[in-house]
Amino acid sequence: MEMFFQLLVNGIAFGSIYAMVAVGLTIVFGILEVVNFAQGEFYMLAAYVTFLVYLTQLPYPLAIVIAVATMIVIGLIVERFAIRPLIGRAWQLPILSTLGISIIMQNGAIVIWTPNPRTIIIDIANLNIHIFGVVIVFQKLMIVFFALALFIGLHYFIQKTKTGKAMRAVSQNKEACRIIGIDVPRISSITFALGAGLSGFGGALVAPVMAIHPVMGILLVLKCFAAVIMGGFGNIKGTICSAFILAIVESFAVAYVSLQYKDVFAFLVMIIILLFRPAGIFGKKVGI
Amino acid sequence: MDDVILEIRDYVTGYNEIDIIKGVSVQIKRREIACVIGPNGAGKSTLFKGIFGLLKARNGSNHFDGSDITNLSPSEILRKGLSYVPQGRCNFPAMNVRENLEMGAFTRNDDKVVSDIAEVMNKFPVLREKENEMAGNLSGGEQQILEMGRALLLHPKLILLDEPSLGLAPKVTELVFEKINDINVDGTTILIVEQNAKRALSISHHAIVLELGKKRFEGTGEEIMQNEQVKRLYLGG
Repeated sequence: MEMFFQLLVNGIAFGSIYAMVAVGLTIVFGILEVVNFAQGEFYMLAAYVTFLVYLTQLPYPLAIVIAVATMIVIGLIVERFAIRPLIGRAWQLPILSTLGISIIMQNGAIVIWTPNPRTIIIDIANLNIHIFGVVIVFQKLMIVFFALALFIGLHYFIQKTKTGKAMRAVSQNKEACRIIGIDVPRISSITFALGAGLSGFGGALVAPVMAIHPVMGILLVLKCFAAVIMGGFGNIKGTICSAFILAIVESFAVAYVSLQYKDVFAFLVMIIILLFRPAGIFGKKVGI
Repeated sequence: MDDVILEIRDYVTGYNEIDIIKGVSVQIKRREIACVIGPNGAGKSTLFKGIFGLLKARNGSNHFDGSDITNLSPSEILRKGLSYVPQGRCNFPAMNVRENLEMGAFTRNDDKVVSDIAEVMNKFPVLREKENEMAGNLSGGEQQILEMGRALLLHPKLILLDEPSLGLAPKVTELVFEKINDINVDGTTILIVEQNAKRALSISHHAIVLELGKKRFEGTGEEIMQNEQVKRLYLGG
């Protein structure tokens, strides 16, 4: 029984990370109609920024803030120069463009920081906490805590604030937005930066508990794509649920089935769910 | 001249290589209801898109409320006080009625938005009744009223209404036309494109008949309604 909870807790911790990155993907898809292949690289770069800031002896929470802020700025730049000029043209162009950005970022990271994995040692992050016989690393608790706080905040932002409502409006009807003066490019820009920031937050949170290396975002983003597809493209709640399902299944499969095939299970779950619910777990709804 | 709110002069516009509007001149007076009627393909909707800045002018000019709006962007034109309600349903189907109205005031930053929304709801009680319903679940007529209400939130001086009765049952059409009249009585100039020519003419002070991108006839609503040629060609005898 303890084993069961141990695996569940691990699954929830990783699910939180998948969900953060995947929600970024899904809002960008829902609002810009762009599949952002560079999402995993925002995660990777944020982990590096956290690492670099931490090296300068600044406290870890400040490193998180700097990493997220950096990703928001990079996100704004990428949106302005690599995506906005392509909107309204062939749908393949933004895909190729973000794929190109992703390759440049990965290789840039290899050139600057070498392919060797880096680690951050933070004593408190690695503290083991015992709850009813289940051992949880402190940082994983933090990850789950921050992820939940973030999703609640995001829900409030999208449902209640003017900008959040405008994001929903853009995802539902761009033509209507133009007619009433909602600045679609500006909302797109904010959305993309938010997506990059979410991914960056994920990267900054895992930095103390995972190896930091230039290709750490590749497999993650593929699994996040699986969560986005399972959740029904552009559906935030569906994406979050799917991300947790994938990570929990993965956690159990590693323990009970096979460690070697760890990365297969997420995609297997996606395929099974799509076989029975082709439009994703939450069905037909389009828009956020 | 000062009572002319919109002046279109020798206006030419279209899509791709083809000119749809081939030199149209029209003057719309303040506080009147004017309608543009004509057969399918006459360019009625194209004219509206052109006025609202969704299409580039190829010749001629548009002046609105004393300033040149030829080739301004839709958001600039909106700011000058000209709103557009396109044909077909053009709202946010998965947002509720109140949120749709709030989006209509998106470009405003004053603190009167809430009271203005209340005022629109007073004017169109059906919107208050369905305040929390998703726009996509409203009937066609209710959606049309919602979109007109949404346009009012920017306090436009002129509203372009493209086919407000499209796809509506006769009784609902009647209600929509009543509301259009109400908006006009409150002081807003209305320019309307209608398939339902007879109904549109009956509330219009001024009417323009468009055919193949050119103005064929012009007069008061009554005159056009009585014009033998117009009757034969467009009003079904």
